[in-house]
Amino acid sequence: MKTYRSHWLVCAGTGCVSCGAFALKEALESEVRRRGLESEVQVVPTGCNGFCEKGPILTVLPEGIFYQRLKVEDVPTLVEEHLIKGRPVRRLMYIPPDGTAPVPKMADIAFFKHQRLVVLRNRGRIDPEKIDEAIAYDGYEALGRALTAMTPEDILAEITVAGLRGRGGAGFPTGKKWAAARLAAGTPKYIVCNGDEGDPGAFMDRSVLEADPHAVLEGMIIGAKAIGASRGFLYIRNEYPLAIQRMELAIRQARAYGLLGPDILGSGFDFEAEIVRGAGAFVSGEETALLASIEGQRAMPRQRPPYPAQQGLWGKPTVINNVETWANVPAIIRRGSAWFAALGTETSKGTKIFSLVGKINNTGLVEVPMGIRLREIIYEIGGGIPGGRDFKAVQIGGPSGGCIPKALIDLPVDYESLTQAGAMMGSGGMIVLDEDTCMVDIALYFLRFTMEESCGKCSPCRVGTRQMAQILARISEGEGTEADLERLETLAQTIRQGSLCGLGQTAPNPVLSTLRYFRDEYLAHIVDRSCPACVCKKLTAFFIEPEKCVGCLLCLKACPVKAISGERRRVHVIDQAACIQCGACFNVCPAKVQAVSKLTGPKKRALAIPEAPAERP
Amino acid sequence: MNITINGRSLVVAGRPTILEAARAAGFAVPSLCDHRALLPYGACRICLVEIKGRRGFAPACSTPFEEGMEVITESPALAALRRGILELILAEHPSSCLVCTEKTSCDDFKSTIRKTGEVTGCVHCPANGRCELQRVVDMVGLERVPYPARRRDGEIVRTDPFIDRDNSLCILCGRCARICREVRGASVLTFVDRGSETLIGTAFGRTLLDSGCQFCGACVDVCPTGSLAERAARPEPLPDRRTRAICPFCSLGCTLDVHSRAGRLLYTVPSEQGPVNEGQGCVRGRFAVRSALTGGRRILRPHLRQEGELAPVSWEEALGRAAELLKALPGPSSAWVGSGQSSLEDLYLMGKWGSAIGAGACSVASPSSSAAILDQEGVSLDFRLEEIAAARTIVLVGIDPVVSHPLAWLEVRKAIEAGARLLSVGSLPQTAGRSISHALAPRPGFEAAVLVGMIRSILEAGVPKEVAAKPGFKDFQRSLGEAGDPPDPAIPPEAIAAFASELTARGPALLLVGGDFFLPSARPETTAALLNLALAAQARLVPLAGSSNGRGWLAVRRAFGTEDRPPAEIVQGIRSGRLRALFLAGRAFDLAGTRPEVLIGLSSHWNEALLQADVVFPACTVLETPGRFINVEGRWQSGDETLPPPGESKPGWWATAALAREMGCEGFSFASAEEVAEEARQRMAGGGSPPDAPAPRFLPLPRFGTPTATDSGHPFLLKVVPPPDLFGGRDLAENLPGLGKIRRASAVWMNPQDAAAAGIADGDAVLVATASVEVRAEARLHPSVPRRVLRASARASLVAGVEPARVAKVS
Repeated sequence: MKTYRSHWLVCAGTGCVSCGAFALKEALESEVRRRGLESEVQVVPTGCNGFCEKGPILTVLPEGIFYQRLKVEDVPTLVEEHLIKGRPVRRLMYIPPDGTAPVPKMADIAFFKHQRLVVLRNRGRIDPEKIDEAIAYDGYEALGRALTAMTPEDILAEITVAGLRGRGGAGFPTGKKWAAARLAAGTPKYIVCNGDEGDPGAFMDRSVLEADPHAVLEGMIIGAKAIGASRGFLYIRNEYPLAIQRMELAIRQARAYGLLGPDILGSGFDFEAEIVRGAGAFVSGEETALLASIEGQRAMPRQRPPYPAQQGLWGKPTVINNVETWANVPAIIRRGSAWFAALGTETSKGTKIFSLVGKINNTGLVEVPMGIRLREIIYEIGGGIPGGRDFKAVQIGGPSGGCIPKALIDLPVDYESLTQAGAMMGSGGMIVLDEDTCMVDIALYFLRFTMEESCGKCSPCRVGTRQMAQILARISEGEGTEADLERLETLAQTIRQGSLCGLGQTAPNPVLSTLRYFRDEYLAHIVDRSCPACVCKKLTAFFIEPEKCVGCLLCLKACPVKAISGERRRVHVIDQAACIQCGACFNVCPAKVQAVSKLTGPKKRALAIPEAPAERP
Repeated sequence: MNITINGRSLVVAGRPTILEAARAAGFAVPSLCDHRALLPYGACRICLVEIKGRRGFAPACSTPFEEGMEVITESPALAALRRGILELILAEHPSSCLVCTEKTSCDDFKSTIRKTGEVTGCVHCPANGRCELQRVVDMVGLERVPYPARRRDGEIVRTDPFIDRDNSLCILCGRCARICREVRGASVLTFVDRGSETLIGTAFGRTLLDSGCQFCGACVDVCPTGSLAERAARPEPLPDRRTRAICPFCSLGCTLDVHSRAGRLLYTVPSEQGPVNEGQGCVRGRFAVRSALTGGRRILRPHLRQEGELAPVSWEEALGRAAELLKALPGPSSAWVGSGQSSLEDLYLMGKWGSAIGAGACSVASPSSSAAILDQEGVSLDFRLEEIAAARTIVLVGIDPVVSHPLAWLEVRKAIEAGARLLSVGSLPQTAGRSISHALAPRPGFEAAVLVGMIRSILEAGVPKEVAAKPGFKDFQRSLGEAGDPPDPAIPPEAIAAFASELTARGPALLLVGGDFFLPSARPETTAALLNLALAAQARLVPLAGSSNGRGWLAVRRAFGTEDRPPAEIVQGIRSGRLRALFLAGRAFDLAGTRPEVLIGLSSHWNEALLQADVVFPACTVLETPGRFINVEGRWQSGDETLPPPGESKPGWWATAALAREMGCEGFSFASAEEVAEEARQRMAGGGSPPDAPAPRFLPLPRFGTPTATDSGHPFLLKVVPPPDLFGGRDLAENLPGLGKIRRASAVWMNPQDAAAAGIADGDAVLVATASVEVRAEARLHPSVPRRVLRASARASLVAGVEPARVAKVS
């Protein structure tokens, strides 16, 4: 095998690609060619590193130097300095949020340092489009063992003892699910990979599929052997073209290597996998809806039981797990259940991938051991809250999850603790909220999401979410009453108890958890008719403080509705009747001036704006 | 299985759902989306119950009972939850009347104010009094809805025949979409959009008509609210009476629930208790009965031609005069015309009368009906519809069951769902073309040749012993060499061979035979080819009779040895003077400009021929007199007396018997329809196929006739067939514009390739011309129509038959 002096690993996850990673890679290659260094330097496109906000990302091995936010123009300098002269370019390195010196090595960056990579172990180091590279890093080793040295019972036992739980939401023990499917009557049996990741701000599964498609495939084949299936489907949402493309390639390559298809590795075991593209509905991620969609029907959930493990695709026993769960399987088989069970907590084993987004310095994808404290994720990995603002809450678990307040920042992240705190593991979305976030607004946002994405089948979810959203909208406009809070709680109960599927049953969570921890904020909206975070438009006014205004005309020009009057070097004034609370003035007012302020409650009313512009004649 | 419901221990058989078991045990559990004809769905969530040992609540409709399970259907928690859910449902349904405190007294003052376009509450709603939501509200006990009412946007959709769709009343239980897909296999109605914007609609918002809807009305009948309603019944008040009738239109014999008020028919609904249809029906039984039976001009009194004018007289006078006129002529110069849609009693006494006077001719059912032809050849017609569902290969022979026999189609669909293959041979445009795996479309005149080609292919693959041992096989084999069957120029032999091997691939096939194969006239080679094919392929031959009492007529015909002649022969007989008297009983008949010396009519409605009659007797319809009908399977069925006979109309059998007695015939004293039926039953040996009929035998093939040739001026063959919906000799679609739209009665069907060559697009206006007539029509394209063939249904200007023709687009 050919060896190179230096490996330049260009992150080619969707995030980096959208910032120009492919152009960067081409520029690097041509620069290397131009200098005649092809035989010494290898440029490798890799899967997502998770630090998407800093893309495009380049890691140089063997030194382990991490470059970020690269542009094509940086390439000649980079090659000249780093490769030829051996002087890493400090200018292009990562600088921590505290503004101290750049950190040259990836391993020393806080974002990476605290992570524990099991599922994402190959991210950023292999070319996901080359099966040989996956194999070089022990890919398909577990499959070999499972097919040649293990019985289905052995595999089931390993997965069960490892304590692996579903990473898609509810955390059902994977071993138990597989055992049920193995015992269920009916043939053929099917394996399904749920890659219909739809939570706002979540991209864990996309990243796994893009970075290490073979791990997912390998997990599925092992699962197939365990339950006695010979056909599998990967349901990947159509909005993930790169993931689909890489998985298609992986399937082709695995087939060419005899790792997929008839008589895998000469073991006599047959398995075929194919990709089904999702049609773009959030609810398709619900397992029974997903199965209906594969069958060619409208993605609508059906009542369970029977569970898919008993009656799934076309009424046959089917194991459906999400991408991350499948990707855990080869690691467990390869390194043993004891190794896996040693990671995490008593009830939650292994690691979990989270997408860390929102008001946080280091936005990105992180894989951490179960049981890690929220504080560690937010402050150490995430680098804290930007702009010196205060941390307020973190929304965990997507639209079905809940908000965990600052008081619980030392909560260990595992299935039970999160559920107890009113959130849920979900598929691993983690949205950090700072003090400028209105919790009523957040609850309304997530509720509108579930309202729009409800399949429309069962009445509590279809109608109930709409009614809750209407009440919340009323509260956010200062028109709520205290009875509305009670009504919200009763409605939430009806929806939770009455809904058919997980989407409906958990839809009230964002409201319930914010009511639980931020009831005073609701009351502020209702009683004081004020929005403490100054987010809800009807309760907020923008005001130019005359003593601060320098009369620079910036806000006047930025106002889309020409609600600001004034002349150069004269104090500007906002016509409150015309203002639409878009915040453009607030944003353009120079940082050293900060003349625009947001007012709410009595202060807003003191501006004597004609409230609730007359709609009535 | 031992189970417990609300503390009561029960033992149940099978594995019922909680809802089924609870209701069977007398516990009332409210539900909305559940329906007996449909798979459990679990959407409305009103039927939630508690199961001991399980967290949360489970829907009773979609949870099967398990051994030892303990269920609670009533508890404070359940009551609160159900109320909460119902409040939500009602937030999106006009409900002012549901929760009105005055609703009990309001009932007394309800009238027909449902004509209002927008429904705001129960009294305006077409489903008022039948609404399941009203029942559930009563069960759950709701006093108020704590949410602002939301009315879904959009007006009532009235763009389609028969059905009004009002989304503002819809509770999205999905019954309509489910029955359309699960039971009817049509998937016309479906859910569109999602979340709180979810609606019931069609793909791309097309009309039902353009979505392939057959207007069976099943969606209307399962709708628990007034969201889907029959337009004609919409403004009607509630019925005060429900009776049963056998649908008079086709041979399947669906049972209909007839809803009437004060002796007036309001609407008919396929009966859930119908042994044949179990709640299903088709556009005719659902929407056409009222118009066909109670519309038009009824004959209310006997009429007699006096001084050239028909004038009402008494029954005695009319009967006396008719007998006098008929007796004056010798029996053989009299002929009679009947209808295969008349009751068995009517047909039996007509047959008996004809036999008693030695009538010279009669014409009843279409003599070319497949059942009549095969009955004559000794093929047993008895079968059960379930046999179709159990078949693994089904061949449609000149039949489009979706249109002509919808209930049989439902069985075909079940077979397909279970993995059966559907094949088709014939030139019909197949409505369910997508379900057909192999199709052969012989050119008119080549049907028999194609079948013979299949027989050759089957026999070449080897002759099983059982086949060779069948009577007549040797003679048939010999005739096969001499038949001179002309090969269809458009069908290569390989296609025929492939079809034949599909036909025999999965054990005995079932051949569903319709009339189209034998149209315009039954050629002996077609009959022989079909029978021989069934024997050679060891297939089951199931001819589907066309008319509702076609089987009854066959039994009557056999009992009296009567020969059924085509209408043209009757006309010819009158013209030649051989036939001098004609008795028209229950069927509109085209006299084609002739007039026999004596013309007697017996009918419920006036028609053109009757206006020329000497005597006219007013007859009851099937809704007024319960008659017996033998359906396509051989099942005897009869309905209830539903409506009072209008005027002085009498049952047809009564009039025939009275006339016969008046003429001095013996054996016509009957006090009731039962007496007639009893005599018929004895005389016809039950009405089934004769038990002593010889086993079907191979028929030697006759010399093949020459198919109709085309010429350069008329390069197409025009095949004109009777319209699919005949009643009493008239086309239903003529009186029912909605049906006309569905059937596209004025369409000429052609192959898309021919159309492309002629620059004709689907829906274009075209001119079809034969040597004698020119007709304007709407072109419709279908790939199952053979090349260079046009198909049209018979209308005034077109006469059933096959003729060379040309077609061109007109602007």
